[in-house]
Amino acid sequence: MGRIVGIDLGTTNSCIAVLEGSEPVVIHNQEGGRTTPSMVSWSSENDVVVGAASKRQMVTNPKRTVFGIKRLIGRRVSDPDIQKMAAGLPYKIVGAKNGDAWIEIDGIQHSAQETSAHILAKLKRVAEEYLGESVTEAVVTVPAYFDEVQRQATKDAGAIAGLTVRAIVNEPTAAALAYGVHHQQNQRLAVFDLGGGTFDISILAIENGVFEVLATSGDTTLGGDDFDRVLIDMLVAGFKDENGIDLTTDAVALQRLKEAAERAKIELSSTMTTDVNLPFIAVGPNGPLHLMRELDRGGVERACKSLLDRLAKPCDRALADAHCQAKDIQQVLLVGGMTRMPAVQERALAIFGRPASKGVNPDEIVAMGAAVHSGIMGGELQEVVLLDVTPHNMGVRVAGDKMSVVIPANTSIPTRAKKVFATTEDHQTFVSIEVHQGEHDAASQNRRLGRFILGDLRPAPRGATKVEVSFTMDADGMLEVSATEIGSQKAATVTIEAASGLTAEEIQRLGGTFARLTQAR
Amino acid sequence: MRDGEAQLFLLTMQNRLLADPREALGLAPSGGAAEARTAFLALTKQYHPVKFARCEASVQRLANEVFLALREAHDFVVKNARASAMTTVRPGGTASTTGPQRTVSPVARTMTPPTATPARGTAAVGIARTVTPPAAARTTTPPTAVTPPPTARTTTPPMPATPPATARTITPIANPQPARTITPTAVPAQPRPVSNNVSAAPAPPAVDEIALFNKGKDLLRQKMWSEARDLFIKLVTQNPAESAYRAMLALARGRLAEANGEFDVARREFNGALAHAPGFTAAAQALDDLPPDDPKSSLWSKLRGK
Repeated sequence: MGRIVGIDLGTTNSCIAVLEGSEPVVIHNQEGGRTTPSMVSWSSENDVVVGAASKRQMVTNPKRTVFGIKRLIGRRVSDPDIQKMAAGLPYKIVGAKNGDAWIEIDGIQHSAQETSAHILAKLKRVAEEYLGESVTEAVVTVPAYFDEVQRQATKDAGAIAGLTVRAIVNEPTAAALAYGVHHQQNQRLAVFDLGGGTFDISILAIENGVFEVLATSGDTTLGGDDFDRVLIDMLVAGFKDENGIDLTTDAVALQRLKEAAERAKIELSSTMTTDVNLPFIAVGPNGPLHLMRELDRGGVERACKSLLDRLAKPCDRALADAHCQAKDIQQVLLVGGMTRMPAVQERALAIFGRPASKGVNPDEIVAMGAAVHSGIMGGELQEVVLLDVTPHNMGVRVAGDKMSVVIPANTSIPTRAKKVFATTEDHQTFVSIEVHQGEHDAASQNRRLGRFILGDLRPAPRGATKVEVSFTMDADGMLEVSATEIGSQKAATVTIEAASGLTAEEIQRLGGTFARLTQAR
Repeated sequence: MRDGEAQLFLLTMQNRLLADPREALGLAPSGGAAEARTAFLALTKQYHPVKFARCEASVQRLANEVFLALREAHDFVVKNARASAMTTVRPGGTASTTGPQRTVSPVARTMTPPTATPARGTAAVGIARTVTPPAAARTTTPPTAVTPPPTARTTTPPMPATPPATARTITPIANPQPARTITPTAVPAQPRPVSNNVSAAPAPPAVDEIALFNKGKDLLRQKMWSEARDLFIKLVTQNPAESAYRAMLALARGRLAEANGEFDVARREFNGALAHAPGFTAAAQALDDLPPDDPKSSLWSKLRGK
């Protein structure tokens, strides 16, 4: 069996690592970078360019350059978050036939899975060149707060790229694994992961080599992109005041602004002020106009206050769910490029009352953790194992569109839970079991994962027939649901495979295309 | 690990967990919550499903089941240890707050109606019948085979100089005499006398055990196998020496396996039930009801064949 690689498929940057002996090692890409921009662009000849090359030509090719595809994967186009995001993007988001959010380049629609697969395929090649052997298996990380559909979509992206995804690991958990391999004394950790697109917080306990996630929480719509957006808005508003021109209507200007905003944000982590210089950003009545603006750290932090304020609530919830207090945490890990921002570090300090661990590379630790997990699976690391939790409530829709929770969030997996339901009508002969995931009380507001029917019930007055529903979630988060009529042993069982929106045939067909592309290269 | 090897490894653990959760965790009889936790963590490193992620799907499923059972075993030991810690830590001010006293005296009260004071000669039988969970008494021959051994044996305070009255007849304890049953001083005078006819009779189990046992029987009658199983697991962990509980647990597990179509597992369980309680008619009946053993379908036979 070949090696299993560990991949951090990030919103902004991706990273790949492999276990050498018992040490996770980050692999350099062909351009020499330890991380690869999660960007895919289609040239006018319809060639696909990925990574740093894509990022370089983004300014000249904004409508065909896709960034932040992770924010679309496994999402519906009708989702208000997606609608809001689509408004500010230079590339086009469309609704696919199945209702998923896809992208459209030159009139051709591409699924988010396929787009992500381009990034994964590049990383796969990077690993193959480094290892000198073919790579077909991977551990891929996702934000802890990803739901089943998003996880399945990520697996499908792997399949398209020719990678069997052996495990999906939560990013903060992976970070803890990478850290804990060298710090195995019993302790409690908080992993504070603010990446390009999402914010995750996990509380873990390391006990005798077993990494047990106690609770996890987060915000899927809070990340570095949102901070960039605040800076862009500052620049756009300033320019409009001075020149009366709205830059957001120009895709090229918007792309340049995004790049400049990101760079300014990064610079402000180490300096108090920075200059944004964008010559020839627009054309006014008196000739070309230039955007020149000095940004200072204080001003940017004030503008980002509402974003920073959103960090505390998920942390408090995770601490409460883990039944501990900030003082019980012995170590805080900061993960994700956004945690380099001093204001974010201050918030983490205020929440947990202790400075974060030094010596952790926030861009690489997640991929290293994925490689560690691959070592646990492959048997190289015998003395370490991970007990993770399910991040969302799992339940059944009952009368009145209520969500009846069977497996609550933050339950350690694998797990099995049962609940008994009664019929609501006289002589009801079947029940429909609709499985939902999410925290909302109304089932329809949560993610629907699947539905099946238990039929041929014995006719009886309402409430007399009872059906026991049993949820079994395996260590990889796969859910199996069975329903049994109590007394008759009549039963139905289904494995709930969250459909990612692509059929098996589509995945196979795309996979074939990818394989041919790789051979051609 | 290769698939076949992994399967054998997992099945061995599964059987150990089914047979005796404490033994499977490797716990000494005195092992409490902390020991159970340590054992669970050590076993997690060997049996967590992720260790079998590269095996074929059926092995992965088995790994999940084994791990769920492992966690179940751990949880029960921990819960039980906590419960007993709570009852023994509290000082015995009144009967209602102390473990042994509380569990013994109410049984005596409830099991024998005040009017049914037995004659001296029948006292032993009377006790045996009243303290034995009825189902076990019905389904096993002789009844004493499944008579619960004293729950209070380990926790009962040392016997005092036996008052002759209590030694010879059971009436004083069986009768609801508030002065005896509630005050702590009365408790030592409970039915573990050394005298002739009563000595064979064990101390009665806790009242909640009997209630639970009856509830378990009801669940079995209603064919709610998994609830019955959970309940008997609880009873077995509370009182591991009681073979009647083990027999009923095996019956519930077997029925559950039968319902899931796992006939070889069911057969093993029913045989286990008969081993715990020879003459357990319900288990014998269940065994007869099973479809004939098909060697090809048995997982074990498959393994042997390899």
